[in-house]
Amino acid sequence: MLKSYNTAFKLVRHMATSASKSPKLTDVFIVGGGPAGLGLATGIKTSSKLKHLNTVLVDGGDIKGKVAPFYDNPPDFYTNRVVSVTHPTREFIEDKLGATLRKDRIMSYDGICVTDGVSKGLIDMERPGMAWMVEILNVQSSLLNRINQLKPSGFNLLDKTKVVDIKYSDPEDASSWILVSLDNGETYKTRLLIGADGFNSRVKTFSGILSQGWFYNKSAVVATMKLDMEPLKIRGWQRFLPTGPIAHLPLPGDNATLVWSTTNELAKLLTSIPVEQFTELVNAAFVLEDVDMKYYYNQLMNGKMTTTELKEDVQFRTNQILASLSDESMADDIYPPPITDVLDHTRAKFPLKLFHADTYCQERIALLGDAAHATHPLAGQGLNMGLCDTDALVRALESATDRGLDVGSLFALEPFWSERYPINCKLLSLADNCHKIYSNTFPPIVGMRTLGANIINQIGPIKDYISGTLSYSGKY
Amino acid sequence: MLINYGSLLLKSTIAAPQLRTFSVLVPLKAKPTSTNTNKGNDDKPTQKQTPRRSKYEAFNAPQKAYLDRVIRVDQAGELGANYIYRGQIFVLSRTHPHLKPLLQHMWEQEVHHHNTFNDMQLKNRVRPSLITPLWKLGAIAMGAGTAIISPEAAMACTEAVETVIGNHYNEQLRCLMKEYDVKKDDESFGIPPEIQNLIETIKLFRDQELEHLDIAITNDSQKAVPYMLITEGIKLVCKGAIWAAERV
Amino acid sequence: MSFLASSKSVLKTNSRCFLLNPNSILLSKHIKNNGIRTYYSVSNDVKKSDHLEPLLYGKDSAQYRILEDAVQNSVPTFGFTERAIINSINKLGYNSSMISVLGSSNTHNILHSSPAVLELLKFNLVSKRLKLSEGIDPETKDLPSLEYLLLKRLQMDKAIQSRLNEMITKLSIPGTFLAETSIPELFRLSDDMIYFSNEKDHHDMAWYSKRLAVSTTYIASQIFMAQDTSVDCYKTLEFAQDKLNKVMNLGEYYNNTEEFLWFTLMTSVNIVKSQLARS
Repeated sequence: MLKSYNTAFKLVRHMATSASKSPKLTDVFIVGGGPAGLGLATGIKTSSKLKHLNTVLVDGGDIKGKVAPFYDNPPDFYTNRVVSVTHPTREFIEDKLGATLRKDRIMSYDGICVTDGVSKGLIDMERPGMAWMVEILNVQSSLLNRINQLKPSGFNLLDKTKVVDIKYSDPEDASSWILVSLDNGETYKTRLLIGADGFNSRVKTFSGILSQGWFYNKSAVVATMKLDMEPLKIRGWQRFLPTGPIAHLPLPGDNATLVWSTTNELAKLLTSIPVEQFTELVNAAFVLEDVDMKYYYNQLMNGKMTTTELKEDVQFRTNQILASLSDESMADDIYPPPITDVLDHTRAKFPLKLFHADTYCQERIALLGDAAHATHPLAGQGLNMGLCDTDALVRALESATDRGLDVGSLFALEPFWSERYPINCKLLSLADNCHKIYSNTFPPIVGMRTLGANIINQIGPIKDYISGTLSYSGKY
Repeated sequence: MLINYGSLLLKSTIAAPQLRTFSVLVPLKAKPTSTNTNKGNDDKPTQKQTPRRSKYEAFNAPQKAYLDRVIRVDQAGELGANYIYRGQIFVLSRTHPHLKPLLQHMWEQEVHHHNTFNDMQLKNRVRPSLITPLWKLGAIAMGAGTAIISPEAAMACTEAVETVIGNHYNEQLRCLMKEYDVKKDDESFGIPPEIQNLIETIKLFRDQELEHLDIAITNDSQKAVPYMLITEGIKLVCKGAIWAAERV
Repeated sequence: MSFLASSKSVLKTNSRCFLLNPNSILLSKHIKNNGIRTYYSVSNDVKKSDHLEPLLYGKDSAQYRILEDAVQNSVPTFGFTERAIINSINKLGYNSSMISVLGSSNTHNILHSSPAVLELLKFNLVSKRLKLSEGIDPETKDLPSLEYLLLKRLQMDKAIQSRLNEMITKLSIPGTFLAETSIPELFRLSDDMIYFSNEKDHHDMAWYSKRLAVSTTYIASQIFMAQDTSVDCYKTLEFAQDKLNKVMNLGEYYNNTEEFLWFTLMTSVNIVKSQLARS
């Protein structure tokens, strides 16, 4: 009698403690609300085969309050995180996920002119509708808008929430469901955990997946720029300076966006000098020679040059170079339209790195987007790789459900990895090789690359192939 | 049961001796402590850091040279261990995922050891081993190679390597305790704190290496085919590597 | 004589290990000191040795005073010769027979330079190297740059610029002096410059290549300086800066290449693995 009372009591107690802490069950738990994470959530909820999967998305930022309103109520300026969206990516977002990007905030461009900061090497690629320049916020908010339209059941978006702890529900079994504790006190037990939480991914750390790569010891400076008038030709310009490439890419109207990769010290200088000086330096960087730039950096670093002096000097030297051109109309082709202003609060810098996770998946875990790879921005492929990953993962999950597999099993996830790894590898090394070839000032290499660039520039099919790779990249 | 043991180890970051149920290692470990008790009972209080600060005499050339070699060879050894586990994880994490947490745990400890000796090498201005690329390549080949044969072979590799390293650390400990009893200002003798720290570090690392040895044996290292060939071969290679790393 | 006393105490410390540890077979094998700086004690609990290694005498010995005066005042006029030393001995009022005691540990080289002259050369290198790192605490955050230290060391030789050619020749005559003093001292100099500067140090091959790079830069700059006629040797300093930059870039290339090969190797294996997983 006493004994049975005792067991009953124990049972009650056990139930009481487990009720207060009992984890909520879910099928897919996504950490990170960037384009890749949101894309996956949308993909799952759009797909007729995956709709039934309970999905939770967690992000530390204010997604509902800051990201979502962009769609209906965008700011009057262009934000600084702008990416080049290629055809496959746009097809995925608009055709497969059914999201609609805000058309007035994207800019289609018709080619890119690549010049060499040390020599006269030039590749002028023209390709109507090569790709689109899109703000990341535009991608995110249109995906959010799409999810809201779907009004899906079994979807939970938790923003302003951080992951506190990740562990296996059975610590000895690496194929058991994963327990994720959040800082709001909730715990989820999930069949599949997705790490879309960027370079310092918690999920990646938990998984123990190793990665290869390095920091470039360089930083990229981004900013939104104003032009004196709307350009006639809508295209991008990229110039390879010895310190790193500088790119000028179009945005609607008289706006343009800048990605300037340079050494860490110079990035610090570029983000700290007054905007007027920065504006002059950007204009100078596309036209003037390396020695001139070095001189300006030096003078500005030592505070020996005033804004007016800089302005006059840049003006003088630019005119000198423009006067030396054989054909004046060439100037419009090889140099971007001069900028008149930079929006100060959009000026920012971030470190550049190359890294690639050895695998994207293991039992119960998959890595997506920046959590799996990071690249030099010079080829503008980061976001495209991330969204194409998402596409591949959605397809892998679909075929797993078709075959009745557990979507969290390695068997279900592996096709995603084998499809994406080689492609991402190719794009990562493409960007890295460009960086390596162009950051070199060793004369024979400069000579070779100039010759190579000029040959490529003369032969249409090669040029088409390269621009095709860039505008359809991600697919193959 | 086996995995259970591993997870217990995972929880304790520092090797807790009471967890070890094996007797194989007791003779290995007993030696240095016994030399210590044999030699300087008088040193015990000074080791406990008395507040009196009297300076130690500078090391003589042979003492310096030996310390130099200790740091160099240990740095190279831990570099090797780091890469052996890296190679094993690289192969086994996919084929035998259940071993991964265990390997991960051992690898993390090796990385910590390696970093510790790296710091020591720079701080004490010791030159690193000249042929580090060779150690890296050889170690990763050894780790990945045995892991490709079978997980048991990988464990046998671990067993062999850790046996040699454990013995080697013990030799160093014996020498450090015996030969660094330095004279102080007040004519008394003692082991300088710098050496004491080194001794404590090596002791801790030795215990962790032997814990890895335990893990390897628990995980069927002795069922590897051909066990004798693998372990004896690797022991020979390791001894050769130690010999070389001390010198170049 | 104070210098005799100090050298006696050196002998005593060196032999101490045998007295203390008669059965130390292990240690006795490592006595051979091949001229490379060994373990550098960082502990405050260890007494600093009273002589300025690798010199066998301290700052207040007669030897030190004579040689210091010679380097500063006599060498610019007389070069690295016995006359320079004798000049300083006389100036400081020591007995001229002192010259036979100076540097008696040095062996003759093939040109029969006197041991005292060799000691003068050695003193010039060692004392300037020690002066370079004086007052720099390697534990602090704001260390000088490698370039600063290199230029500082070059500038120290400005007074003996006219004697540089002679010095370099004497230092590089093949023989025991070259092997035991010139080269180790060059290594110690580059080692010091890296250790006492904010330059990143390494755990692998780069440790050697960086020291080699600094050494070659220093030697090349010194040879340049011997011919330099510009005001305040500014051309030498420019040359050194340029050379150092180039050489450091070279080291970076090597590291990047190793990193890249490793990346490529791992990635290739991963590609194969990913394609095997497909089937």
